Amino acid sequence: MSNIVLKNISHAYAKEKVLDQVNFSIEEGELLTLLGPSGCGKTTILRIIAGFIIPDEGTVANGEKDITAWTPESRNMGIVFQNYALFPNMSVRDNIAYGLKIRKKDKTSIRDKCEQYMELTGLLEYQNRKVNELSGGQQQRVAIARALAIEPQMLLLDEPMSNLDVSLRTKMREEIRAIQKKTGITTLFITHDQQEALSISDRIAVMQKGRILKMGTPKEIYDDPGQDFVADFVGTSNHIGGAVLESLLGRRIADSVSVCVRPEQIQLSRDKGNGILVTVKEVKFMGMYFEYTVVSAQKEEYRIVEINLGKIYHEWHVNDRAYMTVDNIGDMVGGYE
Amino acid sequence: MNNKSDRGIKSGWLKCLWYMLLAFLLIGYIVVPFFCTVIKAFETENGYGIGNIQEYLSNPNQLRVVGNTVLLGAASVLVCGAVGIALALYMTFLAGREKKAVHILLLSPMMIPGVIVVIAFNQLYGESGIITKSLEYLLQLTEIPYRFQGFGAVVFVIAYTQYVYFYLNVYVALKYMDYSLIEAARGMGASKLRVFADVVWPEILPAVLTSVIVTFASGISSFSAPNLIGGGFKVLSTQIVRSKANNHMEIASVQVMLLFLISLSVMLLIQFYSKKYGNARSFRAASAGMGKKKGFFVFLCRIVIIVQIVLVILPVIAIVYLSFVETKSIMTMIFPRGFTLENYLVIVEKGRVLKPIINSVKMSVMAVAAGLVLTVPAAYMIVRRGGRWNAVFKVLIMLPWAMPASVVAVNLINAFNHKSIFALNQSLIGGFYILPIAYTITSLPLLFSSNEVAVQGINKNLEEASRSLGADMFYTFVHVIVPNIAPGIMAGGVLGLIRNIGEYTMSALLYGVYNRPISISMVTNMQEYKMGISLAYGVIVIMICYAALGLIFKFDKERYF
Repeated sequence: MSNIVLKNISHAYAKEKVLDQVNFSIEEGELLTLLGPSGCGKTTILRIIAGFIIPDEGTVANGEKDITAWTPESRNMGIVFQNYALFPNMSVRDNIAYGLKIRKKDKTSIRDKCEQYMELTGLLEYQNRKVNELSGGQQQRVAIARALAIEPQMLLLDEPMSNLDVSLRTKMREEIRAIQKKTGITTLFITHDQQEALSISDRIAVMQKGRILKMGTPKEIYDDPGQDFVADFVGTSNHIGGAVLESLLGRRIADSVSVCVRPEQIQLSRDKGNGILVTVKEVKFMGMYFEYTVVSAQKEEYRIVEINLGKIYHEWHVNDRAYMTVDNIGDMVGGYE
Repeated sequence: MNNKSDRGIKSGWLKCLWYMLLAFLLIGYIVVPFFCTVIKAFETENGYGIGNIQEYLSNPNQLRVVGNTVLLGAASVLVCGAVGIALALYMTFLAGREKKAVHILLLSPMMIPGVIVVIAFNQLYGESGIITKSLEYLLQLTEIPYRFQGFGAVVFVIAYTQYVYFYLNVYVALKYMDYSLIEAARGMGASKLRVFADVVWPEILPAVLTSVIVTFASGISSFSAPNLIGGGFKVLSTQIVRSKANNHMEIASVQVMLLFLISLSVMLLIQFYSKKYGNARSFRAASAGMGKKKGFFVFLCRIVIIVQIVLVILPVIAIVYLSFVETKSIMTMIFPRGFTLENYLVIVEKGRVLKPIINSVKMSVMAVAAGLVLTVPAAYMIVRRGGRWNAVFKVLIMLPWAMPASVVAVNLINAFNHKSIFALNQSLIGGFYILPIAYTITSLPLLFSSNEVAVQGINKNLEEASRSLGADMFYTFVHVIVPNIAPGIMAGGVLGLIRNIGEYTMSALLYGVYNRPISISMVTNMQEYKMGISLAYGVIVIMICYAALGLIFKFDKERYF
């Protein structure tokens, strides 16, 4: 069953169009991520779903009901803001109870719900603290518990990890995913971090300049980005065309054809095979893998990633000459011809 | 939840009712009274015309009064600007460990009502003042070395009381300045003077321009100093009171219009310059480590600061000291003697003498409470909702900023000396409520600005979070916005309270038997040679104001330190 459906949504700020004919739906219980660079319109979509913005064009529907003009307070959406927006004049418990008090729940039910969500988010021991006495990670948990306590139709997460350090981000995204799976709540997650999007989502929608370019599961987005922007934004990619592509294929092709190849799909070898000769320009040791930049005779640069297999691994050095081959290059080109 | 919840409808009605009430009050007590004055100014024996204005402007003596008013405003700006900016620069770049204590002392004139300062200065520098008589005695002169009267004396008092606006605004601007800009300029070889002109001045310019407006407005509307020590130096504010006392309300109305026009023109002119030149702002990225704080120049600056602090403390010490001595000895001795509690006992024991203190406190609290009820929701709506109508409301709320106190008072007299629908068909003049109403009107811009800054400081996401959790605008305002802007509300409220408690200009025009305030009692007692009681009143007001100063520092530490 479709949960939230956006149809033909367009919106402009002071005549500058930020959303252009956006269409998508969020299925019940799924975690959909809107991924894109700053200013691409992802937060505007979240604010339209939340009811803070009424779009210039298009509709937002909850199942069969058109909720486009509904006020934020009547939509029953739980939001976790980038800066958490916790009420500084209230304790952890009061923040979580806030939405329940508005719903005029009885005291027992408020207490039980607060405890349930504080336990879920590991906040029981901090319940009487003021929110500004908590760490960033704890504050984020309060924001999530507060949003979940009202048992919302949907959870909206607006770049909630952007204020956390790298190690805490990884931990928190695992926790968010676990909570989402446990509660089964439909979730919209906003981020510009591709790793975050790939690791947490059921589906990803990649956005650029107010449009959704590609939508699919993380694997679909990564393996078959379809467009150069998506390929570049989600992971790293090499664009191979012209004489280099002809050499790799061993035949002539149309000038307009080029393929997008991930760094891990390219190999370096001492044996010629079907490869083309390249020179190693730069070597970066990243621990688990090596990242090489190589240059072809046509002066085109490619990035290659090879797993570090320890002592048995043959490491390449700057100015080494090697043959570059690409997995299944023929199949990739087949799609374009 | 329904998309049109009962709470939402209730909130909509409340908002509508509140806007109607605000419009009724602003129109009834600011706009209509102003137009009543305009009409009064055109009222002649033969109907309506420009006769009063023509007559007024053709009189060279009256024109001199207008010239004096502008001169006083300009002199106030120049003197207060020089003192205030110099102090702010010293405190930012050169002050040492003593900084916090000196800062509090330098802010303290803000807390002492003007009328008390004038009385204190008179006791120090007047004809029989302690300093004047001491100099006469020490220098073995046959007559007093100077006369503390006229233009110079008025500017001296204003410099003492009004430099705080320049000092505080520039100090805050310097506090938030990015000091790496100075380091960058010095690194490129700029001299200290060049750094000041190219880097520091553009940064403090917006603060300077704001201070120019406030100081000019306060200079031209100054009443207690020209009235008590002005001598032959007459300005519009004193002449307005005189015209009213002689029951020439049409002349008072012409004078009020002129005063308002001068104030408004300068305000608009400065705002034009503010928009043109006042945009440079940086934000602090580095701490203010300004190097060595030694040398002859710094030594000289410290001497100037010490003199300034003595000037600031001396009136307070004088008032406290003289309030504990017999009035007779104040009149006859250089250093009066004879310790007594009589002056305070009279105030406490005699209900009639105590009444003005109670009146002033009561009226000030009422005015601030009413002002907050109007300006807190107004600031929230105007900041958050914006739009054309809210902009109109903001202009109306800020309009009294361009109206000197005597203008507000005469407007109210013209509007409420007869029955008015805005006063539930009552005449307010002569009654108790006219003064709290006047205090409320003049407090509106101060309270609104303070609340506006506080609301702007609240992250919009807090409000959105509350609404997404199901709260309507009213619930969000009461449970989220108000608790989080409470320090700003309190700081503005306390400052408003201090200003109202010693208010003299409007009080002189509007007081009656039911609402005689402390400032009027102080002046009356002084004029009746009951100097001791007058000074004891002053000490009580200063104590109330210093207690309030402590509260402000507590609530709004960030702004003042």
